[in-house]
Amino acid sequence: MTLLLKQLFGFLKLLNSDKGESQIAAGLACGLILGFAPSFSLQTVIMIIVLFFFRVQIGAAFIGMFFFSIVAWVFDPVFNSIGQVVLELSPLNGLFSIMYNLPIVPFTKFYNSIVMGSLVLSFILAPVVFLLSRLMIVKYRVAVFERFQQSKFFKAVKATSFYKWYAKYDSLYN
Amino acid sequence: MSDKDKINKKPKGPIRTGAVVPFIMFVVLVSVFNIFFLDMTIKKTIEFIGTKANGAQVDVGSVDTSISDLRAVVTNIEFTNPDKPMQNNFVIGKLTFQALWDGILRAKLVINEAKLEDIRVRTKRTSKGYVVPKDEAAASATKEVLDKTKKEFEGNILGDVAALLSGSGVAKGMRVEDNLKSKKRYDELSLEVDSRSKEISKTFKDLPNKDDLESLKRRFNKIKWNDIGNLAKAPKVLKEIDDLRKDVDKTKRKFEKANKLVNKNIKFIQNGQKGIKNLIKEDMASVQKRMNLPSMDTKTIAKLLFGNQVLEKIEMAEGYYAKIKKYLPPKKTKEEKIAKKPDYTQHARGKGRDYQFGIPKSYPPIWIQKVVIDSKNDQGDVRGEILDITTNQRIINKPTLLKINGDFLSKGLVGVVIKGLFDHRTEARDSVDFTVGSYPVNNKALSKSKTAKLVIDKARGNMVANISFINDVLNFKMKNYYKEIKYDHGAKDKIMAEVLARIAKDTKTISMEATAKGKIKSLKWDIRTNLAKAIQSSVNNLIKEKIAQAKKKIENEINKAIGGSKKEFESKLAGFKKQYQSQLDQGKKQFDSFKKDIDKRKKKEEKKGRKSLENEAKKLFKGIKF
Repeated sequence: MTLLLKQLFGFLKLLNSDKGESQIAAGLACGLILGFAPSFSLQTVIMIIVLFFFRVQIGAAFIGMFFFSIVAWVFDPVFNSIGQVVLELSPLNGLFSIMYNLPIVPFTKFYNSIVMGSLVLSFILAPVVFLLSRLMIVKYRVAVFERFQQSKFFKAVKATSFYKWYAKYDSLYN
Repeated sequence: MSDKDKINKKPKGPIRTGAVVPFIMFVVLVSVFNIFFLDMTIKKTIEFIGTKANGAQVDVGSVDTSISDLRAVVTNIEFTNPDKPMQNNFVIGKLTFQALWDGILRAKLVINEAKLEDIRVRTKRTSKGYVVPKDEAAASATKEVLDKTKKEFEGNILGDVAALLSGSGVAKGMRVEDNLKSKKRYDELSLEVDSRSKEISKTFKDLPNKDDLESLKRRFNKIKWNDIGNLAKAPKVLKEIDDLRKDVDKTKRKFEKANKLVNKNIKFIQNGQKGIKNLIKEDMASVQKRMNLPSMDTKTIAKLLFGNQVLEKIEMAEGYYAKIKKYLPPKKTKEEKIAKKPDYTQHARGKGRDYQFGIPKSYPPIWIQKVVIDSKNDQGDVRGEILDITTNQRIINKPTLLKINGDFLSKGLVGVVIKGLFDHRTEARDSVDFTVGSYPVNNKALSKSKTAKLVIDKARGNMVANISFINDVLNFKMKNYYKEIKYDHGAKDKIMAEVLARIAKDTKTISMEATAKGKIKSLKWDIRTNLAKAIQSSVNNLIKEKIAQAKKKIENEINKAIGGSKKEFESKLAGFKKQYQSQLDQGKKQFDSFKKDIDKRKKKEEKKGRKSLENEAKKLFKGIKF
């Protein structure tokens, strides 16, 4: 729980800083892939390893996963239809037969209509989410956070001893 | 941190180098779990799945796995008997198997050879095993049918005969008229006559009456019949006559329509009477059964003696067949595929549909290529093999074959041979041959009641059975022989006791042959036994007359009971016919005669008119010479 909270605070901090928009966007895109996947499979493991080894904002990935799994819950029938169409494509039948009988690959559960549908959609949508979210983060920083920083409320908060203590702590340990 | 430090700080690369240590820790943790807890997890999994499949608790003594060669040794697997939770159906002392890495890497469990050792049957449990509650909804249809058949086979032939001999057979005070189907039918038909009579009365109200006839007659009288002879007025008069005639016809048709309706109703009611004869026969059989009047044909006797024993075997086979079908479903038809499309509205995340892309050398999800059974212990020896246990026979294109030989000398079971073929590649075709060379029979009640008993106290049995299910159609054959029989027999009635002693003396061996064919819902039975013939020939002469008398009495009682209802119905039907038919006939007759009057008058006036026209013409041409 502490780790999770730490990641979420890290996300908020990075969001409101002037750097790391690509990390956050990549995190959200990874969250989309994780959230769309209906069950624990090999691609989930791969995504977790990616989150672990690459400098992707994990907090953003968690938030993305939470949000997109709700979206996926609604769109399951769509995933199923897309998956069925893809899995029933006769030109791909040979490829699927090979994949199905290869070692390791079946752990991706690609042969399930919902897994395949969600995988196809998440691969298509992940770059879109990445680009869109990066654009929106930049806009957010200018249009929302800049204004908020100029507000009387924020100035009042900044003047409190608690904030000063937090700023000192943050500069020393983070 | 100063601004200078911040500037000098190297920008972080895309790789999170700090994650290496936590990742290694994670891998170590997973390995530790596998080393210490994998056996426990497999044990619990076997117990969980086994309990579901067995329908009662399955316990596993221990599991010892070796990850490097995927070998597992499972010991002491106990399968609780669902009907007797304090007993195990069987216990497998040791199960050894080795899975293929090749399969595991393809997410498939493929076992080349599994070995079963130290098998014991019917052992006592140390504690009561959990029994999985039956899925009543799924089993209800089959259970209902089998329970119904079970009730048919319930009865005590010798007890009924003894009761009849002692004079207490036909239950005294029993009201024959209760629940008579034929009486009920007569009452229903009476009500039907009443209700149809009401409906017809409504139609009859709309039928033409005296006023209508009078009005038509008035029109008849108003016609200027004399004008027919007048060339200028004749067409108008003729049209009036024609219109009147048509209206009379139209009115008459209403009677014809009503007549058809009455006849249709009479026919319907008369048809309803046709089934009553069969209902009377059914009532006879039912009353005979309620009064414990024994039926002395050999087939009925055989069913009462051995029916439930055969049914138990069929019930057990049906249970196994349902389980095999559940875990090894046959190829679905197109209609089934459409009907079974998953529903995405009711669960959190849909399960979707799993496709199988099988190629000739691919593995099915689970495939145990060979199970070798080699057990030797103080209970006896069991040897055999089971080939190709799998979740998808179509991929390996092989059926599951089973062959087991066993002798459980300590239990007196010798020459047990089980041969099985389970082929679900296209349609479900299961067949099992079951032979027991010799087995002990103890205290087997053939017929037991307070008044008479015939029990096989001790005997040696021999059984050959073949059970096959092809697309849910059962074909069951069973031959059972009992020899070295020691009977336990007796009866309160002296004559009956003598009869039983004679049957026991004459029947040194008992043979029983049973066949059942068809779907479980509509099984056709045939059970034959020499014991039924022996009982029939010994008892028939004694009770033949008494049965005939009792049957006659029952028939009279039934006729008496339904007499009132029958009479009431018949009189109502006769009244119905008479009332409406006479009314219709009378009305139709009146309009017929009126129509005839019109025609007659028309003819007469036409003749008259023609004559007067001729006379006038003659007058005109008088004195003219041509």
